[in-house]
Amino acid sequence: MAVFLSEIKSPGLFLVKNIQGSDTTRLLEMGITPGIKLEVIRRAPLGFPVEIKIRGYLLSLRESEAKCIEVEE
Amino acid sequence: MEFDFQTGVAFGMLAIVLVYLTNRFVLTPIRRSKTSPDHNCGPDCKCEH
Amino acid sequence: MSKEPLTIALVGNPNTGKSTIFNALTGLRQKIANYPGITVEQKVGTSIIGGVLHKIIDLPGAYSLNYKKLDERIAYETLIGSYEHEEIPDLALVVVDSSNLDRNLYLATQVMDLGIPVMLILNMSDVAKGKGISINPDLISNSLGVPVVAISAKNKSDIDQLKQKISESDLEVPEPLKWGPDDSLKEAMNLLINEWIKPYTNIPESARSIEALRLISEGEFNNAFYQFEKEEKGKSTIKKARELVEKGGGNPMATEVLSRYNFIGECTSNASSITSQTKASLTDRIDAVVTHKVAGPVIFTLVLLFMFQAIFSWATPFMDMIDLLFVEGGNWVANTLPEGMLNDLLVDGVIAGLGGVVIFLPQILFLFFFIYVLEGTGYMARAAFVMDGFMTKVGLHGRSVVPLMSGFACAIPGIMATRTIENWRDRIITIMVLPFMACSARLPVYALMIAAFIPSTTILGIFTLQGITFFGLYIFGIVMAVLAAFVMKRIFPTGQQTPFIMELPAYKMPKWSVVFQNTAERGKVFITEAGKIIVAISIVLWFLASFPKTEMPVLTQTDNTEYNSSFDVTENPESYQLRHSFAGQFGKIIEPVIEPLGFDWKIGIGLITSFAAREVMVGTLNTIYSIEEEDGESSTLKEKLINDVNPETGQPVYSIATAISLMIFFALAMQCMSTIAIVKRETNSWKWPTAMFVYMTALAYLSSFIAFQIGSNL
Repeated sequence: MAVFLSEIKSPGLFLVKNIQGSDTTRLLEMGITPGIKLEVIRRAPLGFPVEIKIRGYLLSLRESEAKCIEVEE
Repeated sequence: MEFDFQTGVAFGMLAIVLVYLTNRFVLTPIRRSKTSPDHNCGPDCKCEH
Repeated sequence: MSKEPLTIALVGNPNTGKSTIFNALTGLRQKIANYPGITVEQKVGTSIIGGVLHKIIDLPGAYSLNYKKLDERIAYETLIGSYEHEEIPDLALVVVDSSNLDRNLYLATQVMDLGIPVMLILNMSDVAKGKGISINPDLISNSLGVPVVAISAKNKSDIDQLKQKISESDLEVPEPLKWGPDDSLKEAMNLLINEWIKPYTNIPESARSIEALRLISEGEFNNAFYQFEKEEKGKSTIKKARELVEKGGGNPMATEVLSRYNFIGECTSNASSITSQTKASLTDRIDAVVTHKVAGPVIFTLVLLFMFQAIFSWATPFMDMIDLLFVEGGNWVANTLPEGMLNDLLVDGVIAGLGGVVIFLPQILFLFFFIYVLEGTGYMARAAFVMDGFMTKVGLHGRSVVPLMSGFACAIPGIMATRTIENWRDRIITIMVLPFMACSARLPVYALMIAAFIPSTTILGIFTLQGITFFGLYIFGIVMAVLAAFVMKRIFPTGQQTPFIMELPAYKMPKWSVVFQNTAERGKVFITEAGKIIVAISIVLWFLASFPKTEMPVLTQTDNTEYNSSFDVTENPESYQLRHSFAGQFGKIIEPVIEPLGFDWKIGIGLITSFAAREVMVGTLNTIYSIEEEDGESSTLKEKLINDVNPETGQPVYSIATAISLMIFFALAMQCMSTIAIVKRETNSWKWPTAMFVYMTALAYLSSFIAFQIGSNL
């Protein structure tokens, strides 16, 4: 079942299903493309941003970006 | 007040300094505000034409 | 094989070791400057490769040519020769982080579409190996169609190998669009190029297809940097092109990116392999602690505390040395040069004023050293990650952390650095509160007041009361910035969050040559930029304090009751002269306004002159007190302040309440004309700098008033 990255509370490995939203180009350009593995590492002190590992590197995303990324376990 | 060599040099320095300060803080800002910079970046880095 | 001098551009993602390669290629033959009219740093140097002197340009780090930031736009503009201050490069060296190949190659495929020769540098191959990644450069070269060289920039023989490869390069232009846009995207590009870009814009021919792709993805061109006509036609053509892509089953925002990543995937899947690693990497283990929910903010605070304690105590021996040097130098000049006006001007005006500024160079160097080390290790991004939640709560931005931290050195680079904040509202709030950060120009004032009036009691073994007061002033600035931002967030509300996509680079040892070079650069800027103004102001001040020449009337206790009330009979002629000089008169005029803050006319003069730059305050006091002192010996300003006695009351001029009030005033008041000028330039209106000046100075007056009234009545 697909969920948005913003809703994931605990670390784990996911599969990117889809990127949606009004300005998604930069997320795609950073390598968050459908079909790629995405690891949720941790959340920052107040919940956001969330730290993920994608294509072997670490990236920090705010809630507004995490809402654009649909993932699947 | 006597006017000797040292006084002359001292006032000469004052004159140079006053010219420098006027140029730096009065003339240059005026010039700069007249000629807009090459890349006039406003909000969100959108260039204004 | 090239024997012509070339212009070679270094391009790459941030954190790829591009600067290290630039330094290795150019050595000391480089200069750092701002691009004219804008605030992105430009690094240009020369390098002798194969017996030919080439020009090397280090472009700002970019993730994509479809720019989202000014840095990226400058990189794009320079590469396509559209940037008027720089010619089109003859060769683009794309620096790629080998341990993060896919995302780095994304930019490389874009650069390959620009019609200029490209060479790929697989940097940090040693790091990649450590991560279990092995790459075959020849296979990458074959599938991309560009020469590839794998190096580790730290290694000198690798740099020689790179130079060898550059001199052997046949400067072949790679095949454009090798990643293979699908038919509908191709059709859309051709439509846009033929119907609008070619006839109505001045985009260079080689850059037309990349610009077409950018416009299709963006859907608008309101941040275009080139000249164009027929805006309506352009908009409708972009719309038509996007419809073509959609008809072909693609998403205009995604099609290009996905095709490029597919192509990259094909290239790398057979050229690189990762042996799976089970143990967590060093970066992961450090991050588990440093970005921890509780430990993270605590560590960040400790890092700051350590930084400022170190700045205060480690710099002291150097400062004492500089102090001694200027005192001795002043005495030497005073005794060597024949007596006269020039002698006085040099000793009391120039040397005293300059000495009062140079003395703070050690602290500035220490501060920047720490900032560059934190940046070089990768910790700065973690600080932004940890703090972003708090920052957004108060209306700031995780990206505000770095400009705000730069504000500790000087508000001006900090305000310039806010350009990394893409959202206008976040940026303006950051700019408006940034001058509260305790900049290094306040350091001289803080340091002087603390050294003179705060006892050096030791607390908890390693900290002194002086160090803690110093730290407290920094915290005070931060708290005020946060409060102001919180209020401003209420004044300019916004509905939604702004994007914040930030890479957390792998931890590494900072590149020391880069750290030292940048630190030295900051010190140089401080001395040359601030120094010139300060010497000039010191000279003017010396004149203001020395004229009109007045002789102290010879008085006795009985014959003049009028004067008796205004000065003490023990007053010396120098002090009398100063009190009746232009400066003294002016200070007297504003004295009633600042008296409730605990300031006398001498501080009043300082407040006026410190508008040129805050640290001028110290130079001014230096001048005032050097003039006031009896001839013969120089003592340090600190001692003079402690011993200064109000001739009317016989009480010391500076009580602890006055010192605290003055420090608070300096913490809050907007008394820096350079900051005002830069805010005007960055916001393009007088509205923001005016608002900044009024609100900050009002706040300063009020706070100092409260502090002094409470302090002096305790």
